[in-house]
Amino acid sequence: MIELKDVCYSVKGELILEDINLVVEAGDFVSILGPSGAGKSTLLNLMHMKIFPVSGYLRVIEYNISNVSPKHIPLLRRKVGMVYQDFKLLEDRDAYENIAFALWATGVRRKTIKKRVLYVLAEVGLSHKRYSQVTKLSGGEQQRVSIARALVNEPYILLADEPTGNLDPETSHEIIELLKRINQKGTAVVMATHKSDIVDTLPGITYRLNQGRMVE
Amino acid sequence: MSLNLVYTVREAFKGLKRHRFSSLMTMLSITISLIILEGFLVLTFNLKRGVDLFKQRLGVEIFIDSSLSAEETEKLRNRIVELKEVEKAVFVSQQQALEEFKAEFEEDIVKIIGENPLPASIRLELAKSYRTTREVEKLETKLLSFPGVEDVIYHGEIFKIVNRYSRIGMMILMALFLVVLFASILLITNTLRLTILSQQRLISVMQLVGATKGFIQRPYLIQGLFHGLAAGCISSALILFLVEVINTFYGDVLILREWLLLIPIVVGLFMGVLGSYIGVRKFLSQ
Repeated sequence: MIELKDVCYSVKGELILEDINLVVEAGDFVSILGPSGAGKSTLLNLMHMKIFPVSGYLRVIEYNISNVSPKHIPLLRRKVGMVYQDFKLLEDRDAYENIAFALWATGVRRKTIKKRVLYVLAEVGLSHKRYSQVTKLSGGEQQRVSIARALVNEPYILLADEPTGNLDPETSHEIIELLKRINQKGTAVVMATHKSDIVDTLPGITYRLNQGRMVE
Repeated sequence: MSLNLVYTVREAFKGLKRHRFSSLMTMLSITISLIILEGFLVLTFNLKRGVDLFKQRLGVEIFIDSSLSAEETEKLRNRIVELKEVEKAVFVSQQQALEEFKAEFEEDIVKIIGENPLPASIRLELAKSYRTTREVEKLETKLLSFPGVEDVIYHGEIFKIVNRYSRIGMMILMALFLVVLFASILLITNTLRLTILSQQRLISVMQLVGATKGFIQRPYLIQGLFHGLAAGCISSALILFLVEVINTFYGDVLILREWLLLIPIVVGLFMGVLGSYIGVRKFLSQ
């Protein structure tokens, strides 16, 4: 589903990622572990095609760097959901509207939208807070909304960039359990984190990243 | 498609409600710009109208040979009326001229000199494009060649002064109008750009969840259209009210044509959509 071969990425001549090789198959749970500044977010942004490598080969589902065009990017992002450390929610709306937006953007019918949003809200345990403004929700709840939004389009892959970075240990544990459940239902999950204690409890493959290079 | 349209319109109005304070401020800024623009237009239009009216009144008078019969006089008048330079030609008989003299000077000239010395004349109102010194001089030569025309008089100096100063005045007004128009366009587009700037983060989040540029842009364009339309209507209504107040106190000095009231609405609509388009496009391309 995702394939990186000898991928390098640099900004203004400074190498951020060097010779990255990585494969994610359907149903995998891949953890990318590394300290701050190791290049984890950059790697996930490459997988989300927010940025592109300066050399090497990158493929995400059917899109690779030689055939992807700007008009494909919105389509790719409907198949690859992403959650962020800072949640990146539409702060002027409630939880329901945040999740529904991802479906409106893909032209889904109104009735279907309602059904699917309520379903994912139940999945992340936030049915009772569907009409709360997201700014009034706790960090954990905001991350759940973010996960629900990423899931509502039924993506093949879920990318999670430090999803527990802003959360207390108990809430972090809940979010990790939620990601595991999502993975068990068939969605591939790629999670970047700097917390090794979390990675120890996770299934699947772990890649260690340090100063832009894979060390293990 | 229709579903997207429903979403777009709904989202646009929800956006106005969510960001009601900035919407109100945007509308207020656009309204002020449009009022200045419209006020300037009304002033220019009325000044030009005043000058035209003045020039129209500065007509040409043709004195007729007193030996012409009534039939010959009518023929002459008909010939003059057919000239392209002439908009209106009114025959003033000797008797009418005498009465006008009496009314103006409160004297009976017949009693003083024993006869009516005033000749019959034809008073001309010139067609709009012929109210210039050069055209009047050409017309004078032409009229003097007509049999039965004794003399042609017009206020040559005043014509020259009015023409010279009205041309300079109109050029200054046009230059000022362009400056005001340019300033209004800048102010309106910049106001809308700043309104959208405050939502830059929202726009980037929308892109991250897979919304296309068009999908993100459309509600903003409708909001821009609404801002422009509302500001245009408000400024037209305020100008209408202001003109009514001025006319009530100073006696119908200003005229307001319908098309003058339509201009801020059309400019508002156009600038509203354009400003929003420029604003969103800037952030979408980042």
